[in-house]
Amino acid sequence: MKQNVRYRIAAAACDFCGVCVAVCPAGAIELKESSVRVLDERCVGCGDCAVMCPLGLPVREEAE
Amino acid sequence: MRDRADIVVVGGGPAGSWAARSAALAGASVMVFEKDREVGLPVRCAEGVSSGGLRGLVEVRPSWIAREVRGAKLVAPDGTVVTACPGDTGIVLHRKVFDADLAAMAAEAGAVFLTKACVTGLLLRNGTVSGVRVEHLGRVFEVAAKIVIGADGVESAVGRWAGLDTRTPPEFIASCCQATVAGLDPDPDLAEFHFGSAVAPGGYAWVFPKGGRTANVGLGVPEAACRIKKPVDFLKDFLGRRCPGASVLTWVAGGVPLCPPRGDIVADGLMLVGDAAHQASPLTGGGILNALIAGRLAGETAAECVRRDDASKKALGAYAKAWMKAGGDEIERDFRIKKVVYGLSDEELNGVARTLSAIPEEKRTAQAIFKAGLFRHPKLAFELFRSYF
Ligand SMILES: Cc1cc2nc3c(=O)[nH]c(=O)nc-3n(C[C@H](O)[C@H](O)[C@H](O)COP(=O)(O)OP(=O)(O)OC[C@H]3O[C@@H](n4cnc5c(N)ncnc54)[C@H](O)[C@@H]3O)c2cc1C
Ligand code: SF4
Ligand code: SF4
Repeated sequence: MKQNVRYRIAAAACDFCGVCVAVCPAGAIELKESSVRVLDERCVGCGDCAVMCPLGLPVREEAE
Repeated sequence: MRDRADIVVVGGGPAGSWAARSAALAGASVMVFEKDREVGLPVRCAEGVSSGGLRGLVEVRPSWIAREVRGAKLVAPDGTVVTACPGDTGIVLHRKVFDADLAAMAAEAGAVFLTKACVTGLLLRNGTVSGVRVEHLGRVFEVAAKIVIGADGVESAVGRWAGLDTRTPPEFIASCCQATVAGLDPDPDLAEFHFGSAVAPGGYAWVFPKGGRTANVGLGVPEAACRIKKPVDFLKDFLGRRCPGASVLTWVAGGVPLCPPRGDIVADGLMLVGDAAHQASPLTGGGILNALIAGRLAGETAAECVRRDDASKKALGAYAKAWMKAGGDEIERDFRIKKVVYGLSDEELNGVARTLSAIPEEKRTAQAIFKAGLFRHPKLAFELFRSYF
């Protein structure tokens, strides 16, 4: 993960379509039937998931 | 549940079911794991296929057909409408029924399905894939297999777990949203395609009639458009324009890989098929028929390799070769045309539409359309020439 940057996905709003998983260069998104989460230790902070999600769900968070 | 099978298939979509059926018919023991509650749902698909194409692959059941259409209505950015009837009809499927029947046909051939069963990892022995780890209703178990077939769709993880680079970079995927709506008045005999920067920049929107006053209304757009506005918001705008007041019965998000042909779809003990192997057309995003074509090739090769007790990458490579022979050229061609068509400006699209509408409808064959395109639009001409001759 890039310093101080994390990506979060609001699972409650997610349709579990897998577009974010398809584009993620780091294999950092874990998707199951009705759960999705970013694995911080793998995420490289590129933001591709946020750009391509049909709903625009993944959001960038700056940690302190 | 058995703890081993000759072949384990990950994913119960058309590619997975058809691979499973072909392998089972050829005598292999097959298990299929599907992460969702039900095969066939949710339907992340506009459900359109060419009638001749589908009938050439499987005996079509009436219950699969929501509506048969005789052609397409293309709508340019300035509203110019061009109707084109290529001769072959199109089928708008009930994919919920279609997918479930393909799975049932595989099961009848001897494949064993388990739903709500998410594959969370591969078992590896000396670098060879030797099975899967499955999560099912809170329990985790392992199933050994001679060959694993990854048919796990656009979100495919199976290939990556085996070391294949199957990421679909943003420039090679369409981000989609679709609503199934009731209470609009689609032409029951035509599939609509809408182009232009206001509707779906660099992609297209569709209205596929499903019978009565219902239709699949959706769109897919590339990365540049996603940076302007989210596909869900493009869809809201399109629904407001095309069918104000209609009710949304179902809506889904989704993605289609729009990639150049890919031969790198096998590893030791592993094969990929369908969207997982980037086999959808990069021009239309249609992937159902190729999933069936490749599914069958994969299933047959897998069963043969089990019989010969050789699941090496080299042996499984017969499938990759057969796929490239069956679908590679078409994907290559569609990929080149895509780059031109989706690069046209609104003005150029309007120009193409005006040229086409000058051709009498009965003469508007695919060939005539391409010739008109050639005549008016040198960029298109060049690529089409390279593609067809
Ligand atoms: C909006 C949209 C519209 C489309 N419209 C058309 C169209 O009109 N015509 C057409 O031909 N094509 C269309 N397509 C493309 C078409 O839907 C796909 O090409 C087709 O479904 C591919 O079949 P498949 O079996 O490879 O994958 P899928 O049908 O996606 O099946 C993959 C299955 O694998 C399961 N799975 C994934 N990961 C796991 C795991 N880890 N464990 C267990 N199971 C797993 C999934 O739940 C899923 O059921 C459209 C796609 C989209 C997104
Ligand atoms: S792309 Fe968006 S809607 Fe689809 S699974 Fe990822 S976060 Fe959810
Ligand atoms: S930001 Fe990039 S690396 Fe991180 S989860 Fe999203 S796509 Fe993957």
